[in-house]
Formats: sequence, C-alpha cells, structure tokens
Amino acid sequence: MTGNLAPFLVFYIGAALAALTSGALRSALMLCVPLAGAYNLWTLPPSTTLDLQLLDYTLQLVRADKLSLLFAWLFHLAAFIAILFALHVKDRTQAVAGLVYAGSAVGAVMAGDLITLFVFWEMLAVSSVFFILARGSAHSYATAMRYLIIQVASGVILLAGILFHAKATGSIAFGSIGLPTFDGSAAAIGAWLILIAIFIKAAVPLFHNWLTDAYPEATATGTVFLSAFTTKVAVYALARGFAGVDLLVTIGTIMALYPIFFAVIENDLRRVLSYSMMNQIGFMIVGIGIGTNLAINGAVSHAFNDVIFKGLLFMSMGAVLYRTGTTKASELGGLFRSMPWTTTFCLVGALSISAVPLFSGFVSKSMIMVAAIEEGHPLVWLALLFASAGVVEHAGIKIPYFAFFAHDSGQRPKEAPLNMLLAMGLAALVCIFNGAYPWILYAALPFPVDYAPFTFEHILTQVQLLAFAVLAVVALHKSGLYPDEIPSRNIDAEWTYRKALPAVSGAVLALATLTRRGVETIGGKLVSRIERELRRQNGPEGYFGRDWPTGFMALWTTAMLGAYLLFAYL
Amino acid sequence: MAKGQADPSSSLSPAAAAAAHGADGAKAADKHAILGTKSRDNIVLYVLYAIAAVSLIGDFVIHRHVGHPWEALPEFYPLYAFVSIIVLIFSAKALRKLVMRPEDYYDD
Repeated sequence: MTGNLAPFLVFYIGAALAALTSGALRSALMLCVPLAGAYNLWTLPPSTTLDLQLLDYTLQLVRADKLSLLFAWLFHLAAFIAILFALHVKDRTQAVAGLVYAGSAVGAVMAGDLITLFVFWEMLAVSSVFFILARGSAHSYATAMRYLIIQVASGVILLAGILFHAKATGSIAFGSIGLPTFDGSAAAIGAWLILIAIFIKAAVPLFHNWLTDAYPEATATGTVFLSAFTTKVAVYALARGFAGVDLLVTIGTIMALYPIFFAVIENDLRRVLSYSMMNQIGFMIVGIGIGTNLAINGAVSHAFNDVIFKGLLFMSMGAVLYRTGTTKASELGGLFRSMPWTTTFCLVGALSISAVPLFSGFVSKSMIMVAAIEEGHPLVWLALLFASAGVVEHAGIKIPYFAFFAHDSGQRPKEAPLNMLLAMGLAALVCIFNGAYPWILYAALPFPVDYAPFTFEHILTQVQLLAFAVLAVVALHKSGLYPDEIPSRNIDAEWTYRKALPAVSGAVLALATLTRRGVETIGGKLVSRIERELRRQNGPEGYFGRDWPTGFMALWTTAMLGAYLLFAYL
Repeated sequence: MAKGQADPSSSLSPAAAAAAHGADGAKAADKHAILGTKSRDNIVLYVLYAIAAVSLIGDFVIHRHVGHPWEALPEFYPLYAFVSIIVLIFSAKALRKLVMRPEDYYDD
C-alpha cells in the first residue's frame, strides 16, 4: 500500500466525521466520502494486498483483484447515489449508519480472508438495522428486531463454518471453497455452514423473508441503501467461494421462479420490488452455479446492473412514499400528472430490469441465459425465460403502472425534491449508458468477454419476448382477468416463525402449565393428606400428643428395668 | 381493474371492489384512461401492436440459432412469452386463494 487507505476506512472515517457535524456541512461531507473513496480506489496499485497479523493468523484486510474491485466500484457508485437521494434527511443516525453500512460492504468484498469477511458481515447487519428502526413505529421496531436476529444468525453460522473450514484446510484465506459431498467431515460441515450463511444473506427462498419483511418497512431513503449492499455482498461471496457448484443452478432457478408469483399479487409496491430483487438474484446464482467464464461474467455484470436499476426503482417508490405516505398499489394511481420526472425515471428502471435493448438488463442477463443453454441446462433455460417474462409483468409493468398510471387516485403530490431527482437521474443515466455502451462494464468483468450482445438475433428474440409478454398482460387486463389490487397481506414462509412457531410454542407452554397445575393439584392433595395424618397422630389431639400421668411413666420404667434384670440372669 | 369484474377474493374488501368499479358510466371513459385520455392510451397500444407485428415478421427474416429443440418452432419466443404470462397470472390468482389474508393478519 502506497499512501492509500484501506477502501472501507474512507467510509468509516467519513462516518465518524458525519457523527460530529450537522446541517449543510454534513451533507457536503457525506457526498465527498464516496468520491474520496473512488479516488482512493482509483489510485490503489493493482493487486494490492494489506495484511494484518492477529495472534496466529494473518488477516488480509484488502485484496484487490478484478472481482473484488468491480464490486467495490459498484458499492462506491451505489453509495453516492443513495447518499444523494437521502440528502434532505436530517437524521444523524441514518447518516452515520449509511456510511458504516456502505463501508462494511466495501470491506466485505475486499476481504482476503474469512475472519475479516465475518467481521464486515456482522457490521453490515448491525449498521443496516437503523434504516428500519428510523421509521419509528412499533411495527418497524418489531420488524427491525426480526431482521437483526436473522442477519446476526447468518453471521454466527458463517463463523461456525469458518472454524470448521479452517480446521479442515488449515487456512482462513477466502478463495474457492466448493461443496464436497456431505460426509460429516470438518471440510464438508464447514463448506455447508458457510453456504447456508450466504444463502440467508442472499435471501434464497425459505431463508428470504427477512428481505420481504424489512425492505418495505424501512424509511423511504433507507430501502435504497438496503437494496444495494447486503444481498450483493452475498452474491459476491458465492461467486468467490462457490463458483461452479451444481446445486446453485437448481437453487438459483427456484429463486428466479418462486418470488414472481408473489410479486403478481402483492399490493405493497416496495414489497413487489423485494420479491423482484430475489428473482434477479436467482438469475445471478444460476450464473455462478454454471461457473463458466461467460456465466460468471453474466452473474457479476447483472449484479452490477441490478444494484443500479433496482436502486432506481426503489428510489422512485421512495419518492412516492415520501410524497404520498404510501406505496400501496390500491391507494395509488395517476401520479404521472404531478410527478412526471419520477415517472420517467421509474420507467427507465422498468425498461432496464425488463432487459429492453439499449437498457442495462439486456447486456448482462442474456449472458446467463446463453451460458445455461450452452452448458446443457435446457430446463433451466426455459425456466429463466419464463421468469424473464414474469419480470416484465411485475417490475416492468406493475410498478410504474399502478403507481403512476392506472385509475386516477385523485392524488396530486408535489414532484420529488431536487436531490431525489438528481439521484434518480444519475441512476437512469448509468442504466442507459451500460445498456447502450456496455464495453466499459465488460472490460471490468473478471474474465475476458467473448460475447456480443447486439446481434440481430438477440434483439429480435428479446423484442418478441417483451412485446408478447406485454400483449398478454394487456389482453388479460382488457378481459378483466388481471388480478385486482387488494389491500391484503400474503403469507409466505415467514408464517412459520410469525404464526406457526408462536402457536406451537404457545401450545407447548399451555400444556406445560396444565401439567404443572395437575401435578400441583394431585401432589398438593397427597401432601395435605400426609400432613393431616401426621397431625392426627402427633398433634395436640393425637395419640402421641396426649398428656400421660407421671405414675404411668414410672410404672413402665420399672417394668423395663425388671425385664433387663430377668434377661441378665437368664 | 378497468372492467372491475367481480374477483372472488374482492369480497375481502368491499371498498377496493367499489373503487375498481369506478365512477358512474359517462365519465368512466376518461377516469379509466391510464394516460389521462383514451386517445393517448390508444396511441401506446397501437405502437405496441405495431412492434409485436414487426417482431413476428422478423422471425422469418432473421435467422435464429437453435439451442433448444423448442426454439426451432416458428414464433417460439412470442408464443412462449404469451403463454408464460397467462400461466403466471392464473397461477398467482390461485395462489391468492391460498395465501391472501387481511392486511392486519400479523398484528396481534
């Protein structure tokens, strides 16, 4: 390291300064942090490492290679956009939390060893919870606690896995871990535990409800931060440690499919985006599972694009929440009249996630699709194609349609504040830039790119897919078959720990109480009966409690002494 | 939705169902225009139909690689996308019967 700081330190120092300042000074300072970080990263010599000796272990706080640098750049960009979007918020806690959170994400992807990764993994959990708490309701407090428990649990499982892994391999370096068959060996247990910890953080189905629970519950600006970092650190960790693991192809496919059904019927548009986020991560995990250069490039570039376009969509919904106080589709509609800029930016995000040619999703998702078919996963390919059509429906159409168009809700909120518009504008610009000129992104990918996105064939098939997916929605809409937006709550896997588990534990508790009462009643009766008997025999009225005349005692003593005498002479 | 057809699940919220049915007939046309006026809506729809039609013709002009046997089918992508959405929406509506609860379901 030549005069450069460890990239995460720039953010941590920024957070300390943000805690000490306020007002315009803090706003200016916060905008400068990711810029200073970017300068620091830019001047970082290639293949830099920074080691730190801790007891018997050598920690590698910084490892700069193509994969880690791409994610670090992405997080700097995302942090800048999110900070700009939240610039009007006068809340020191959220300001500090945001910088620590972004810095921890940068630290996690640049960590060269598993212990350092673990530390930043937990820092991500602890710093991000403030965005949910900041909403300030009893509801959000409960959500925040659930979020924190699950996030910290992921860290604890990761640590357990690291210990097994270190015992088996004798190394804490974070390289390719792979997934050995489960035979009870330390190596296998370690790999599985680490994988499960990452699955929780990546919101893989059945481990996912912290995401769909917390992201719609965070502040308007907080969700923009949340959506950028946690899950993408998990995607990075999978790409680093588990590339080419077959299981991931299956899991990723399920993850791309599972949430789209929920997204169709969900009323809260920020929850729709949370499901949509899972769907996109599913694509990335398939790419990582396939593990070829093309597939990994696809997964990583899609992670990059997803952070920006998903962030853009979350920003547009954040602006709606900020101005109207809700993101429920059943209460919105027609906002394009008074929020034209937000509408436009939302549409750019929608076009990008739908992978419309010249928008960013088009140049990255297709690499995963091509890899799936080339590497002999035809069913996966068909499933992903189905999921792609689903994306058009819930993220491409539903989000902008119900918020900004649809039936006029009569609301005429003001346009979003300038800083929000600038942040959305910047994200929209990146979406269009990466979509129209992907070569800079391609050059930053971990492997050389041998893929041409703009072929007539690719454009044609994608336009066909998009046009007819939209046509199907229009047809269903016109025939009245498209599902209404209904104020409702759809239960998902979280039902197990929010309803079933409390119900079961409640039943167990009731049973225990009943048993205790039973034991108390029967036992109590027994004890009081013994007591009564003892009292009857020994009490003042009892046989042994009677007053005996002295003469009676003397008589018996004489009798006993007589008996001794008799025995003595026998 | 525009037609406001009775969805079995809309019994859950009469207010939402009433809102979906929209205002009284005469003014309904503009009220239901998603872009403010019916003519604007129609322009968007016609553009969509035009793109769809051109993309259908494109299938016979541009040679496609075939990675999956189904892909060899003429107009595979439009067909698959259209059917996917229909399957998706109907499955999701069925899912609603299974998972939909009142908004305050988790609030004790």
